[in-house]
Amino acid sequence: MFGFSPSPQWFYGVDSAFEIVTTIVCISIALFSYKIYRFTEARNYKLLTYAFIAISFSYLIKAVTNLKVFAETIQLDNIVTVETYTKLISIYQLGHISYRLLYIMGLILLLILALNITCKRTMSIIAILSAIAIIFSYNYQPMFHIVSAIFLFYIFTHFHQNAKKKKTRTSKLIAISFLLQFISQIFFIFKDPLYYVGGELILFTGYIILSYYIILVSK
Amino acid sequence: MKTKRTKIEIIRDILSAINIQNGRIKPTHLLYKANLSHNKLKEYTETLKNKDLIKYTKEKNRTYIEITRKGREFLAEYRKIMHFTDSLGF
Repeated sequence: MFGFSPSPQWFYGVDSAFEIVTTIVCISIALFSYKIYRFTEARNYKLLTYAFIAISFSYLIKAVTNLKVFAETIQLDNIVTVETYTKLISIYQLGHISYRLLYIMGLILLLILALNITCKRTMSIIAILSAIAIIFSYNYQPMFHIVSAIFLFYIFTHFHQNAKKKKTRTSKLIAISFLLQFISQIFFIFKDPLYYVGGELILFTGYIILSYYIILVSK
Repeated sequence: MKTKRTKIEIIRDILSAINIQNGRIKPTHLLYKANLSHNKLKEYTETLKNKDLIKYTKEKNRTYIEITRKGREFLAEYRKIMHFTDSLGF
């Protein structure tokens, strides 16, 4: 896609399909969490619902943006006008900025839950610094994945400690899922097509485990 | 040492206490069955009433707290809910 996506050509569309499945998994978790929130009005489940809604929309936006740009690209002849290129890059950048902001917002909410942050000023400083890092950084793409990896690492440590304490299959599944999500972000830092495919596969495996988890708990 | 009950466990205890008494209980009985202070029980019953999990009824000048269909649904779903919350550890 004119080089602004790290995805290799043969992988176009496959990553979007992964992201659509991921959106469905995240929406299922958000709905389950909302169901609990309706009964309890507990803050944790409200935040969890918002977190997974933000993450699901982020993936949906990313998938739609990539598919749109991909569809427009394959219709083009070999000669590309500046106008077309500018239009495609605008669509890509707008979609990906929305994706990055929503994804980071979702992770911040999960981090608030994992670290039990109750101070609003702490929450706001995390949000502001993350937004600055991923929007205004000269090299925003690796920066976004570095920030995501850091957040996912701390979220993973919470789930790992919980799995050690509870020793249940579901708590272990959720810890493994977040470990894979963390590893996938490390892969994405390197703007290389093979690392991108590897990262996407690891990330998708993480969400498949998460979908198995939600099936187990809702049975 | 017994750990402090979570909000969701307190809700389960309140609804179970009502359900065991054929779905209807006097507020004073609920007070000791749920093992809560008067103020805490008032706070919880208000929330549960607003969420349609319980309702207040009057009979022969006596007030009763009744579990609703939604409240029974919560008890049926409780195992799943606890499974979910336990695995997350929040």
